[in-house]
Amino acid sequence: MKIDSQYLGKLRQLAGGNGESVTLHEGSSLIGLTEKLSEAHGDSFSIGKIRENSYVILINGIHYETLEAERTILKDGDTVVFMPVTMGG
Amino acid sequence: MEVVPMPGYQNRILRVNLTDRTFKEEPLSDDLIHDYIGGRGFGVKLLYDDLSPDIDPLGEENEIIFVAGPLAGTSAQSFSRWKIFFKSPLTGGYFMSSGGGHFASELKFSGFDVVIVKGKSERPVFLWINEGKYELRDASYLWGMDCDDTHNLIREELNNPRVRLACIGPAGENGVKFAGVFSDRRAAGRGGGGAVMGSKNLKAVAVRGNKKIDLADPEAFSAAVKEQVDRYRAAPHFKSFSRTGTQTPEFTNVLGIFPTRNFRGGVLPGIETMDGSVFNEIRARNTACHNCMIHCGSISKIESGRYKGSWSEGPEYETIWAFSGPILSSDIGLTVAADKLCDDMGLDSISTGNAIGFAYELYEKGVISKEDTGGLDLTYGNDKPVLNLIKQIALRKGIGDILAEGTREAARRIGKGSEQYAIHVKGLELPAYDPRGAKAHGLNYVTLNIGADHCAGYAGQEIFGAPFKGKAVDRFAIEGKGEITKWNQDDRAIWNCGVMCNFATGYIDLELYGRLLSAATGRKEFEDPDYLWLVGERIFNLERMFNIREGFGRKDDTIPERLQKEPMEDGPSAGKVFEIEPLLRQYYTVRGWDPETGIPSHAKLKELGLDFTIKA
Repeated sequence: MKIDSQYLGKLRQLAGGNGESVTLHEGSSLIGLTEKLSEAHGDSFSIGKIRENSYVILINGIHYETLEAERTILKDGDTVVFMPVTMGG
Repeated sequence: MEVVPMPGYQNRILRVNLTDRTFKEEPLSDDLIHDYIGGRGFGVKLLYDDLSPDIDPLGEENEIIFVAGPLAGTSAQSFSRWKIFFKSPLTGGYFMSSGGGHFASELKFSGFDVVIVKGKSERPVFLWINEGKYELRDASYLWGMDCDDTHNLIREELNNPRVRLACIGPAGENGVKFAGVFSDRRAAGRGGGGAVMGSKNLKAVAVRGNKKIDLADPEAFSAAVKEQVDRYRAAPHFKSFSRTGTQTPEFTNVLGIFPTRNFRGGVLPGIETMDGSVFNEIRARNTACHNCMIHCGSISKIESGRYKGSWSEGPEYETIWAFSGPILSSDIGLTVAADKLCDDMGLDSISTGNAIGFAYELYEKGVISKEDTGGLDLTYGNDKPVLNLIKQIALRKGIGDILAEGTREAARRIGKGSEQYAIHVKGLELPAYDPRGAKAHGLNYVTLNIGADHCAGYAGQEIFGAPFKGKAVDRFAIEGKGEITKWNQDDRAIWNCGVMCNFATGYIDLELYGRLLSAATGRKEFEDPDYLWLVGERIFNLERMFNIREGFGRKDDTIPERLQKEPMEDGPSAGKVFEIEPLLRQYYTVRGWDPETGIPSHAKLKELGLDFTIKA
């Protein structure tokens, strides 16, 4: 299945672009995606670093921790956004 | 008046009556300090005590109160916020607004914690406070000047480039109901404080001084500041926020709550042309408030396109939205040019953007036509009329005259069903977060005493996923949002005593904040987080009682029908509405307010030491 992986802020520099299509096995979870991304772009995309740096992950616009966190099962066509914490004012 | 030394504070309130050109100094009372700490606490208590209900917000009896907090001007970081308090001409109720820069610390250095101005001068004046002395000076020649020129000319007149000002532009002079007060391009923008100053013929307050701020325990204070600095440096997102500030409009777009077309949609097409990476390219340099190591401000400059040559300090997130989403434009140049024009004219960019977005929808619906707009084509996506409309609002020309009343009153005057397109709470236009996709954020809009504001109860739990009591928060859920909203509002009231910047409160906690307050002032009670929570809740409830005295109640805790009945059109929040009734019920229960009237119970008021607000 294909996941639309999007990056905002400084994560774009780390990923080398605004986003990409990532191919995963059917039934893969978010951690499957972060493992694949950390292999490609470095440890910043590992779930441990994401937690340590308080990065936000949205799965189709929903905060991943309100779903099943890193165990959330992804579906073909899902959009996953990775972004640093920011504020508006 | 003999000044009694009091650590943390200058222990002086200056009262100015512009009608008879008299001045009076007062010390801070021990009860005021104990019960309200400073900043927002002082502001609401003084305003509540001073004003009678039903006064005209633009009349002589209204006051505008300028307050610097007990930590302003010290080496503690991010406490250089100044606050203004007044009865709002936009909402008819209690109002507070806040700005950054250097005015708060300079006010302290000039020898005062609080300046209260009432009455009306016969001719334009500015108030000059210098090293504990003060005078009114003629400002007739400044009337009509924009804010930048006013700063320059007053500094020239006083022969001192280090003077700091809080001033109004033409919008405030012309009584635009959402005119703000500006200090070096930083704004206490919301609610019409600029119109209140204009109604008094008060062009500016200028301050300068070198008075020392005593500290109760300098050693403990230094240690607390060092710990604060260390915590900033260790925070994972400190560096990135230092660089970008709030110039990242994409963060709400991916949640589908970036309001478009007057709060119909939640995703702006083409936002990638003005997202954080593009702002990084146009940022000439960063700017900072007094003693703030975050330096999140930006000087932005446009080098190409229709707005080539435009620059501004900012635009911040809200302003970026105000001149894109409402009119369906994604031209970064317009956001910069409109930001500068609002700063120069002295306009709140949030309400200005909303007023323009409202006009665009009226045009689309055929409620107004080119005859009403003076030939301007207000079709979505056409951003050409925007700068013209901003000027018309500030100068009250053409259609700008009616938009200058704010969307609630403009809709009432226009009629023809336009009320449904006025997106406000209590008369204050909504900020750049659609509440249908963030329920606690929306409940805060509904219940805030000043109307729809994002700063005084920001639901970070929904916007960027901060846990609440250790648990993740579903932004669409209703359950539990009353408690979260109360927590966010009381929490902000606590930090607003310092007065600490909202962008910095995430780096420290109440324990360290309490130590900073206590070491500066010598007040041991400020070290106790439970005591701080009590003060925060007290402040919020006193603000509520100000409005209750004015006739506000449950009927005013509402939100436009569009957001309750029309499902979000697009994006990750598509299909959602704002369920006001169950949310409000929860909130009143958690607050200890009567669910039928929205009035705090006598038991709650007594618990908070607000017995004096209970009618006999």
